Amino acid sequence: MNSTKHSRGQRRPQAWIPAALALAAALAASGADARIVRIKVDSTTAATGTGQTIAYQTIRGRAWGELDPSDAKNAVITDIQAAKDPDGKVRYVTSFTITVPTNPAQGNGFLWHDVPNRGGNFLIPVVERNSGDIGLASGWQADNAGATAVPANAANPASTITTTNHWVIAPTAKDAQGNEITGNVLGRIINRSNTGGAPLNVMGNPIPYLPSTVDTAQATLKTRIAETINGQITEGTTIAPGDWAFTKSSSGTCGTKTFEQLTPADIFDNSNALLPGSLPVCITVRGGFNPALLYQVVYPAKNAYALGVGIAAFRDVGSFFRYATADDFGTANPIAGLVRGSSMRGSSQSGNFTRQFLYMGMNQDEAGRKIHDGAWPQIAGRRVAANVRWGQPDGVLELYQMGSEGAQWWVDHPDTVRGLPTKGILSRCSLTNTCPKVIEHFGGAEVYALKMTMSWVGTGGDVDIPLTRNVRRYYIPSTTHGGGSGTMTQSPPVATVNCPGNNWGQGTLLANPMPSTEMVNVIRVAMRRWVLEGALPPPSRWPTLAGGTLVNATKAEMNFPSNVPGIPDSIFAPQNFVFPVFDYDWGPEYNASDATGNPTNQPPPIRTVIPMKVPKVDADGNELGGVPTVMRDAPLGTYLGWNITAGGFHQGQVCNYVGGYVPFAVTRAQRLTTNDTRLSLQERYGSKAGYVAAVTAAANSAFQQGYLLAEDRDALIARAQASDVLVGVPPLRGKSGDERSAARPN
Amino acid sequence: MHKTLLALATLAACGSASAAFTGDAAPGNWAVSNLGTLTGTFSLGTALFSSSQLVMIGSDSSSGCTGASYGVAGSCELRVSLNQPGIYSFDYSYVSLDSDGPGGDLFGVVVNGTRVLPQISDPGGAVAQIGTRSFTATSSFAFFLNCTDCLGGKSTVTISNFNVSPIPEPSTLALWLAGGVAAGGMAWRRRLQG
Repeated sequence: MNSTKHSRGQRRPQAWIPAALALAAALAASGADARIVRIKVDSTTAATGTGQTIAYQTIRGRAWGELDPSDAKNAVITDIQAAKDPDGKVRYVTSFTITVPTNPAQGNGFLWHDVPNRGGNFLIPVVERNSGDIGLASGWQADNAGATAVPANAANPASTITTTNHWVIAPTAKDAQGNEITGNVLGRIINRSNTGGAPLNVMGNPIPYLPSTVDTAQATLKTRIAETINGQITEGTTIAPGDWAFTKSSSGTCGTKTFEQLTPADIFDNSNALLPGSLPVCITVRGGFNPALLYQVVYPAKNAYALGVGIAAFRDVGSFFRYATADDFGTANPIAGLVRGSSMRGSSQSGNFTRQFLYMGMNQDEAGRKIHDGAWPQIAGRRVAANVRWGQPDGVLELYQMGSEGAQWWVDHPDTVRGLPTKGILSRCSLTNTCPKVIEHFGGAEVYALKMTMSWVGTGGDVDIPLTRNVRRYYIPSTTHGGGSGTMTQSPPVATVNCPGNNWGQGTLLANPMPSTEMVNVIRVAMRRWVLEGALPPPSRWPTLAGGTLVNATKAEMNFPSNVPGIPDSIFAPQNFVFPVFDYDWGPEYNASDATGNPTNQPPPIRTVIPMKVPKVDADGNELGGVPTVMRDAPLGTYLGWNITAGGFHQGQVCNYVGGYVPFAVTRAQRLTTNDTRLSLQERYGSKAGYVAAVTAAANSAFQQGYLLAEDRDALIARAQASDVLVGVPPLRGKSGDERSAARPN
Repeated sequence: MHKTLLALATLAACGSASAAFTGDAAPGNWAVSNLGTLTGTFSLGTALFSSSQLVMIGSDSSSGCTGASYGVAGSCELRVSLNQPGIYSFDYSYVSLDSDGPGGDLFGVVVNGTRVLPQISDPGGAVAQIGTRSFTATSSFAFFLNCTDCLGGKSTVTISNFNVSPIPEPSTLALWLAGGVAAGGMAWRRRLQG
């Protein structure tokens, strides 16, 4: 797209013309391929925060864009040909938020394009504002449900939107006659409360697809008695169509009426016009739900959003704010000329989006330019189901949730088990020379639950797949998803740990306090310097087959210690432990290599179970390999990337993707009461001073290797000094440090 | 009798072992070669022997190695070979000076003409790595230091505590077994008598 198309300020519509018509006319005349044609700023407010030293403002608004379905850059978008307007273009509207220094001269020229997680509001943190960074967040998740629900009147440029979440208005797929496409969708319910209706949710958000009919004879509702982590299923019964109903929710909550109390007014109204407020779709069963069972429904659905349009919207918004000076209506890009370098960034679900974005080759804009110089997928080992018909982008890892389809590694590598073409996440951008510099980081929970290691060793699990010079990989050992509190105490609080997911339950172990904050701080500086200055980040660190730090997921190969309180050997059984990747058969209309198309098999048969590797552990059960961290190298207990589900349908299995913690006994005497094989704090550190010395040594080592900032090094040492560790606990009498070490039982 | 068997086994096992880089493993018996094609301005790998250690310094280039890519063992490598069967054991100290870490330069061994995978150096490990390894070669043995794309800086490996001992012949193994059985039998008899 040449610059003249971005400077059509004279084409501003007359005030008396209805805004939507003016927009349509402007769009029809533009001849654009894929780009933002209009923006509107809805609000500009001060952005303040504790400790902030530079004045910032937050600019919230909307962007209107259009796509040319015949452009090869858009060909990978599922259903783009079925989502065209009458003039042949595909259009969308999306939200954006910019956080920028009020005085542009105080900016440093670096922009973070943040990927909202499930539509959540995102402003760059104070530490980045104090560096002069610019923040941009924009919508991508086009499923119009839960926190991505589109606000009323969002498509009307004349309106003003006051909400802060992120969303995309994307078209739905139509058949050749213009009729809405229908197809089968899978929903799963575990109802622990056994009252009234239960929502069709995925990770706590509504499944976005309406039933095309509320006739339950057109759907199938079955129970399951058991499911193991590795995909072994014990089927229950099929519930007769007359014994259940699709029912209404109110303000997001299902009703409390029993099946017998239902009236016709309680039956779900599947009118498109009621979206998104009518979600979630609820199901009510005669006699109520059995809390011990899982319920699985397959129903004919409609409103098949062309979800990949949302991914293109993220691409086009990134390009506009990076390169454009104004939209087609003359509205200026508020950060025009301020960006010298940029990185996209997403955490967890949105980290998976970041990988998806790159896999689709979306870091290339309409003019063929590289949009972002960097990409930072955080705690993400898969991709989102955001470019497939009936996709559920909120899905994470549970049975039948997509995300591990297609190549999950960066460079071209054969998929030996699934028999897919040799490919990598960077394959598409490599062809156009638009690959960004990539820094990825993750930890234990991503390995044990989020199917991470396929990205490291492929489906064959037999080789360390190399990185490229443009990729840095940092594994933060023994962390929970997103890291823990970093608390250093010998008396951790006893608090309930909830397992994320579909009513998964609670964990039996304490919350894992191992932090990732310090490494994140390293990376934010490293990425900025890598992009703006070309300064190389510290070398990658992660567990490998070659290093002997990545092994099969058995207690023996992990070398996990015995007699750790609260950890039974049963947790290490394959049916309970590490989530494998399932090679699903999604049906003939699904492209398993690109992870695009129409998955018609619901639920899909499992062709192959691909086991994951895990890090080997030390004598304390803490993980080997990865970046050096203070709490791993001066531990107060065993920090786990997994936990154990206390009860319910998943009892005894890992607690979805939340980590656990088993503190060391404080004294030797306490340790001996439980036959704990791990040395007590008293035995390993001797005194508070000994603990502080260990923390200091670990902090200095991590700093010297480049994996800890100086301010965080100092803060960690100060935290150890202020801790209660071994305060008031006398050293063991008559034993040297060596003798204390020798006291460790076998 | 058992003393006789054990003595025979011990003698058979001794053979002509080479401790450090002496005897059959003396520096002059090793072949040092640089494989592959480096482009631009480059420095070839070197092997520096002493009687106690071998220091290998890898290659590096301004324009890289033809046909190679980062992280993958390509055609360009320093190889130090000995055509001698034996049980090879050694300590190693590997240091990567590659700007992108140890993934850029791979250290390992070739046994009987076949590269042992995974290689010894850990691409996800620290820039400085140490360890002890042992391999049995029936025909030949070599160390390699592969610079993959050969950009970004070189790496070094120091081999120490090197030893080559003969592979026990089947007859020797049989002697060991017999000796072990005899010794066990004697111990069992003593216990009965005691």
